Amino acid sequence: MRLRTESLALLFMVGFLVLPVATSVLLPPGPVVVTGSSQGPMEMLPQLIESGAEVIYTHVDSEGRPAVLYGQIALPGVTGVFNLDADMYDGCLAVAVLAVRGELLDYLFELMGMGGNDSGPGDLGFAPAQDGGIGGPGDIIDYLGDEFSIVVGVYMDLEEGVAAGRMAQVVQQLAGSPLAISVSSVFSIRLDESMFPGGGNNTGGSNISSLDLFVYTLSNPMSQLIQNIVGTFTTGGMLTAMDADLFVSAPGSAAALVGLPHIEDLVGLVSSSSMNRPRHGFVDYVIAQAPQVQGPVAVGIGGFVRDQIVQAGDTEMLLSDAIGSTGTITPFSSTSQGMSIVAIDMGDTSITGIEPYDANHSYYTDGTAFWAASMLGPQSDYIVHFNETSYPPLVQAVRTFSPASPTVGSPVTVTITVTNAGSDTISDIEISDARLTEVYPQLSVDGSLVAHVPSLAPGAETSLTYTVVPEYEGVYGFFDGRVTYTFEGQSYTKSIRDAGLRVVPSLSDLFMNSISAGWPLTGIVLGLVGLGAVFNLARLRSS
Amino acid sequence: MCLLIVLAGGWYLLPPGYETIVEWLGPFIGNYLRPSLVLVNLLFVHPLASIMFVALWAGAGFVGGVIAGTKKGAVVVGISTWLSCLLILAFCAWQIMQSGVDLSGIPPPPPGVSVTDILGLPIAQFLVTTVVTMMAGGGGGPPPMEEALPSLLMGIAPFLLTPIVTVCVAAVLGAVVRPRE
Repeated sequence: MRLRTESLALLFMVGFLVLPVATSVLLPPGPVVVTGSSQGPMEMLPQLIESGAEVIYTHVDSEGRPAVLYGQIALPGVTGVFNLDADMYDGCLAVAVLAVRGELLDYLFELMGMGGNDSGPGDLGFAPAQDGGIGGPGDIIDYLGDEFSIVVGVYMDLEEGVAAGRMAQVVQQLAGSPLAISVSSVFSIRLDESMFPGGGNNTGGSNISSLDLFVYTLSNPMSQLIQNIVGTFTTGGMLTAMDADLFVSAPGSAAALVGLPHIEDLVGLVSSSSMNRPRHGFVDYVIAQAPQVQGPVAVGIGGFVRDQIVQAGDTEMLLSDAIGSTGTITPFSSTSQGMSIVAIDMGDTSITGIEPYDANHSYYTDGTAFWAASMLGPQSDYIVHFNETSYPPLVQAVRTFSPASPTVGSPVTVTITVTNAGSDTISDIEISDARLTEVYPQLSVDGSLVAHVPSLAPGAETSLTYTVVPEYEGVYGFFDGRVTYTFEGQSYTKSIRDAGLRVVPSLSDLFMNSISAGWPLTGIVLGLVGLGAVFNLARLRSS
Repeated sequence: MCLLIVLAGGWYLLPPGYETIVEWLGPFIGNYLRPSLVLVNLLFVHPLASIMFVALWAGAGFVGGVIAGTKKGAVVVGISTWLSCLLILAFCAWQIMQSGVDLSGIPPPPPGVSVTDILGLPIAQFLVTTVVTMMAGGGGGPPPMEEALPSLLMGIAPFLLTPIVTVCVAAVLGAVVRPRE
């Protein structure tokens, strides 16, 4: 099951490379994407890039939470931001602007089977480090954090100074674009022939002489940057029907713009560098789809994760619930604007029917449904039907801190409130925040980190409350909180969103804490410093 | 006075990357983390990428030199300031070790904190570049310590020498500008 889910997510994320496949199945010959027996998916991709396309992809996980990804490829909005034909992109493999907040990225890696701390050697060939090291991309994401905004650029076969100069021009252009990025720091690294054993010929078959990677961290407010990125998308298609606030107000969201000035170079590099290692479905698929794609391509993606929308007893899922739409969902006109695709992935849930259904322009199997939206025209909604579900009752869990911004040494009350927002009673409820003391063994905790409740009626709420006294400054992470409960004999687990408690240091508290922690040595050191100061002042006066 | 200027400037001008480390690891390591990082930031200065801290050392050295009034005294002031910072850093590091922190249990960054900010620090860039270079040259695996250490020391020497050279030169200048009568 994971394989299917993984495939869907990957297909979307590589930038609409799924579209040729989907459209070759779904679409009749048309003025934009011409299908025929002599034309396979690989031939269609260049045309699709030429015409432009948009996709809404929604995945509903086993807890009934939707993750929505909206993307555009080769449409005027995202293409115009980069100006990919400019000289500053000569030698550039890729440029990307990425803003992530909350759990979306983590969710996507989980979706692809690459997340979590238990990730071992998976389909993508990531091997766990020895001695309990970072095991895979999921762990890397964990350590990247869940809120960052960066500009990344990669140049190939250029002098270091030339690459840096061109990247600086790109960043300057992006700063002056509607993105209005503001750079706070720069990281760069160069891999040249001296780092490749045997020179560039040993990089997997390609003759690369150098690679320059640039990472610019951005200081823009996260919400503003996500809005700016989404704001560059071409309007008029299905994006208009989406609730734009969700891109910044949902529990987790992200937005990215990716510019590929010479996609053939990138494909060649990926292809050649994968020659000497095990083949993976993902890499194989990308390479197989891309060889005929030439020239610059720009992709824009925005997405968010929402709270649970599908619960026990439901037999349908509405796209409008996931994307916050209240009106008609209007796709692009394929004849003039580009293609629009809708995809819904229900995971392990078997779909029994979809609306609208058109044998030529829609398709569903097991947990997946596709619509060639441009061919179907405006719709009030896209709906998938299913019979039996294992979705849990609608249970909400919220963690709060009081006070929200404490100072060092002051007690903080942590409350996890669990509400049964469904229509059935749940039982054997256990609320747990037990990982807190594993992460911070020195944190002083008053009260139990686990609470048990026999049952919870519809509409009722219960809570777990404890007090912590943070003696150190910084942001305390509250990870992996869980609510487990039983409904109709089956056990369910609901994740409580990770949260950070920022403990503000007052200089005096910090000073006194540091002195008391190191006493009596701190006293001796301070005494010596004081004596030195007195000595110097006396010397100054005497001179 | 020279030490006071350096410490105060270092404390209040701590770059965002170090602030991120404090936010991430402060609750895990303790309150000695910030002073440790302040001193690391003061003692490892990239001569080109950290102009502000070169200026801080220069300013402090100049004031120290003016107070000292002689070239010899100025050099002593500069060296003693730098050594004091080194000693305080050693003290902070020792305090951290005494707290019994198990570095194998470093937590992931909490929500709202990202290590990408740390990449912007010159010292982080140097360390990442050095490690990647060594790993690339060694066929992808970690390099042996006997090979890694000399490279690291050679690379880090400019970072380490910049403050002491700056403070001493500036102190001598201060002493020349206002010699003791």
